[in-house]
Amino acid sequence: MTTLFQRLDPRARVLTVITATVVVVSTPSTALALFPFYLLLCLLVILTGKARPSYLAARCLAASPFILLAAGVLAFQNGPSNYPAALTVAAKAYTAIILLAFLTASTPLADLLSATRRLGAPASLNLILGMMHRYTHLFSEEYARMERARQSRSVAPLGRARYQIFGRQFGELILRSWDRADRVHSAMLARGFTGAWPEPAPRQFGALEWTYLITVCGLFLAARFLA
Amino acid sequence: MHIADGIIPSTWCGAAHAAAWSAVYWLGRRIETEEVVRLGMLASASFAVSLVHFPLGGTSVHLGLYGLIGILAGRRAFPVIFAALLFQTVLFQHGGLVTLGLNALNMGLGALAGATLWRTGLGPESLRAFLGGFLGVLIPAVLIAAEFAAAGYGKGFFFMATLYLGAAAVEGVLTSVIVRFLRTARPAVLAVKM
Repeated sequence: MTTLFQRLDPRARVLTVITATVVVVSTPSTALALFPFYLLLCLLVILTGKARPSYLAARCLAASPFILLAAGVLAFQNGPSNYPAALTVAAKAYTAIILLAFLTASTPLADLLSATRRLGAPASLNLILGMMHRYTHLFSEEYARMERARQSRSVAPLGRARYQIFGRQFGELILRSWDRADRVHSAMLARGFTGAWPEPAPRQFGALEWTYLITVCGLFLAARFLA
Repeated sequence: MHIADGIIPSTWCGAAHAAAWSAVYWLGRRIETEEVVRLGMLASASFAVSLVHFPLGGTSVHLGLYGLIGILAGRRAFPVIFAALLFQTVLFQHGGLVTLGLNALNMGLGALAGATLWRTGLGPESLRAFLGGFLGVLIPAVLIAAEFAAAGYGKGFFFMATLYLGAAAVEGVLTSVIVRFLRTARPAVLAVKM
């Protein structure tokens, strides 16, 4: 079933999440009391889309070491007087991650690329992002195959030659990426490539998009300045 | 180390975004499709390699390959690193949307330092490649520490930056080995001017 968030033009989804994130992270460090409101608003936004709570929790957990380190340093630097500021830093970081993870869980990468392109990002940036999406997994598998081949043909531990061998394997992977680039480029030209990825069926930035964007951003701004 | 949203003042992040997007447009101008495809493949292969962890003194480190990207892509290294960071931010939430510009400046400047050093042509090629890889890690670490110190987190992050010396040395050695291998196997790759 398509949710309200998924029915929106991807540009509206991206702009909503960016604006809400900017409002949250620009909150003063003394305004810890605002974060329950932000969390409630995040929950409302999430209910308009499709994101598993376990996915959002996993993304928050993955970022925790860095966030807790920064908040911990801030808290223990000046003692208890800094605890609210440290908590605010952690709350901002987790709220931003929840919003971003919600966006990526509800929007396929092709739609995100289309949105960034239509919002004015350079075509070359989109091409690189699209190629990373298609080929990173492939190169990871290719490296794993190279590593298995090396292990099956090695009779002794790597020892001090480890860096030489890994370095040459990485170099080989770079060469394979180079060769693949030539083949892929020729194939793209053969298929009539004109300088940008084909766009998914374009959607209109209509009344629904404006209403959603203004409502959600308005609620975040109201919480920020009125609460 | 990717800085998450909410940790550094948002006004600084806004200024960094403006600088980073300007650099993406400026350093990526007049780019041919063939070159973009190569850069996309280079970014993919480098990201795949960066997922491999190496044992180092009882812990493990992973590569960033910023110096190598600088050596191979020249000034185009900045748009490549910006795209790679945007990819990681969107798909894995490594870093944040608001800090994207700051993260790109930190790591992109490391790559551009490597590219500049490489193109000077001074000294043996292996040494230049080593220093390119070494600075590609150390410059971002020092910049991040300076940003944290300026944002009121104290000077403790400079101590962490010194811990990155080991990782920077590993990166330097591997960059040097990769460049030597490319020089032997396919010198044309190192001769491409971007």
